[in-house]
Amino acid sequence: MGNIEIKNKIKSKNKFTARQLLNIESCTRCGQCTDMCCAYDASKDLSVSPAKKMELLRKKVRSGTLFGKLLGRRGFSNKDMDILARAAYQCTLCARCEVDCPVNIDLQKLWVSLRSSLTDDNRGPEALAMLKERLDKSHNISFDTNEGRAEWINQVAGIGEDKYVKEKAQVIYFVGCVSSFSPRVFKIPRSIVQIFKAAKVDFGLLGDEEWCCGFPLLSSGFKQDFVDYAKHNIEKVNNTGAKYLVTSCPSCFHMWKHIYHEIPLDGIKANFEVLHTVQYIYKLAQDYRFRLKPIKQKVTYHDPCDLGRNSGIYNEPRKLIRMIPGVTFIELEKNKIDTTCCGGGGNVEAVDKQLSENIAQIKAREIIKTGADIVVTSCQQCVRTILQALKKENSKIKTMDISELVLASITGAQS
Amino acid sequence: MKIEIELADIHFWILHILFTLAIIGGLLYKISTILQGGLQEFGEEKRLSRWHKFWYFVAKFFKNFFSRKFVPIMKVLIFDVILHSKLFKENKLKWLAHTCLFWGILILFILSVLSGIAVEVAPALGYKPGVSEFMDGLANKDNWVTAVLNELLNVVILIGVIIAFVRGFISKKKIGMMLFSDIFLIIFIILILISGWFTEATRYIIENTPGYIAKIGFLGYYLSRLMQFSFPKASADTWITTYKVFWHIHVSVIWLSFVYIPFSKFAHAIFSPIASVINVIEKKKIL
Repeated sequence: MGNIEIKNKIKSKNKFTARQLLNIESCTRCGQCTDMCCAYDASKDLSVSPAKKMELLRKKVRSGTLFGKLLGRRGFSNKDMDILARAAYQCTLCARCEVDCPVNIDLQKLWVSLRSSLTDDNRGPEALAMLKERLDKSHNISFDTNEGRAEWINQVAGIGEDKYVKEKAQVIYFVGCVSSFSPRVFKIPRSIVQIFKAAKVDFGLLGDEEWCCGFPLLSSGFKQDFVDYAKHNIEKVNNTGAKYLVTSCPSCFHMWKHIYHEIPLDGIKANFEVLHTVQYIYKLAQDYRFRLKPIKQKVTYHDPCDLGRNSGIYNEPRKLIRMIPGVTFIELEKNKIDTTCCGGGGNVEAVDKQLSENIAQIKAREIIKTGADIVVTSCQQCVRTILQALKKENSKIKTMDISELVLASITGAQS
Repeated sequence: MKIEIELADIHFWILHILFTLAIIGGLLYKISTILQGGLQEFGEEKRLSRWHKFWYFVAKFFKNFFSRKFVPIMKVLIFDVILHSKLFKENKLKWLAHTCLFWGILILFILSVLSGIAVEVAPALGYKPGVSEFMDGLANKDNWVTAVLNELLNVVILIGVIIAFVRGFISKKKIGMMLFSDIFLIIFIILILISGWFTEATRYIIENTPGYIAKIGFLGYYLSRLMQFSFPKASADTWITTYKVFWHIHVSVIWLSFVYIPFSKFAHAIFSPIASVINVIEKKKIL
């Protein structure tokens, strides 16, 4: 397991909610969450398990109470603090631990709040503090300035002067940081633009006015900064008069669809519907806005955690894949709500690369077992992680975003 | 000889009141620490008193209970709180241990409270024996329904303890997070069970309960026979003293367990049902 540099401790100001404190007291320590945890499965290290985190968290909370102080902090040592601080960032935030919790504890949010409290205590990993600096400087997670956000589009044939950065559009495509800046996955936004063009969609991009959705800030514990990013993005999309905001990144989608609505935004309200590209493309396919040519391949689908388990979108990607003539669809052993993370979630890659790779390896083996020719997903981060993991396993299975598969079917490239 | 020593003793009531206060104090302390938390996850929050937050949650519960969330709330209460269906799906043996312990302790507790009311409160309020068969049955430890229920519940709890113990120590999968405090509580339960059987056995000896009645409480009966066989020369006074010792151990461990509950794993018996309902009310995302 990689080393994570933890900063020195200062006093915490960020509190858990009463509901979270109740949940901490309500945990039955049944261990079911640990059985399901991909980080534990990949490391077999009990200290990264949700049950251990919960136990340490309970100790931490109790150490701050009157009895805790009277009884000498009830055994919460600096060593415990170090284990907890590390474990908090070795979590992919996939929320698999929540599914079978007998008390229905909202564990994913609890882990995010734990990170917030650690950030306030100045105990967050150095790598995430650097990520925050980058975001403060350029509003994206890359090392580039935000002006380069739409550069990926230059390779798309037949684009106009405006490069789709328009003042008004019916659909705004929110590309997300990884697809905008990581050349390895540029093919995803390019495919989406080409599908939109084929379907004659009136769409636009925000260009350098698109800021990070804030998920890396939220998942690293910087809750207040996250609110500022949400406000900015909603205002910019509202200004375009768009009817739909579509995004190809499941984390961006989860933020837009579910989390932005939960936070106080000083009266700013989104005047548009939020859809993931898989939902929107499925809608276009149902309306016969393009023709799908056969692809004679065995295809399996990996549910991204933020799109599937955390947003409940399971059917559209499957229906869309099955709409392609010639495709034989095979389910992964662990699918839909039971899917396991690909290892790319929760910023784990930034703080513990080895753990992230081990999780990805388990996923890759599960994919290989299906005997599929292509593994399809709806997430640029999953594409990146699975691609690498399959390569390490010397597998010839192709990794594709669903938009690439649909485009291949439209153009007949895979037939 | 009928013994009516225990509940009439003044020291019992003093201790009973003190322990009851300690139990209530512990629970209030726990609730108070939970209510230290804020109400919302994001943004600045107005400083609210714990009392205010408590009523906020009570109001929220009733508002949601009589709304469209009634069905999800009832589903959680029936499947998650009462039947523990997720636990059943996960591991049948674990479910059996949990069910034995939870329902065994809960029903035995209710039965004991009802017996206490029948013996102490009802006569003080002017109740005369013979009026209600139900009240008389509760007051009489040798009534066959009361005796069978008590004995069966003890056996059910014992089965739960044995499974929990074996699972905790023998199971190779040490991820159930069995802590020292959990073992401590299981030891408490075992002590309650054992001291209970010895108390019952010595009572049978002192009261010279006829075998056909005593056999209903089968474990206590055979234990009484064993004790008499082991100590054939023990005097009546010795048995009375022994009875008092066992009775005091039994009651003291029960009290201590109750005081300990809010600070132990068993706290989830109180907080989990509340948490399950609040989690269903407040959960916004789809799972």
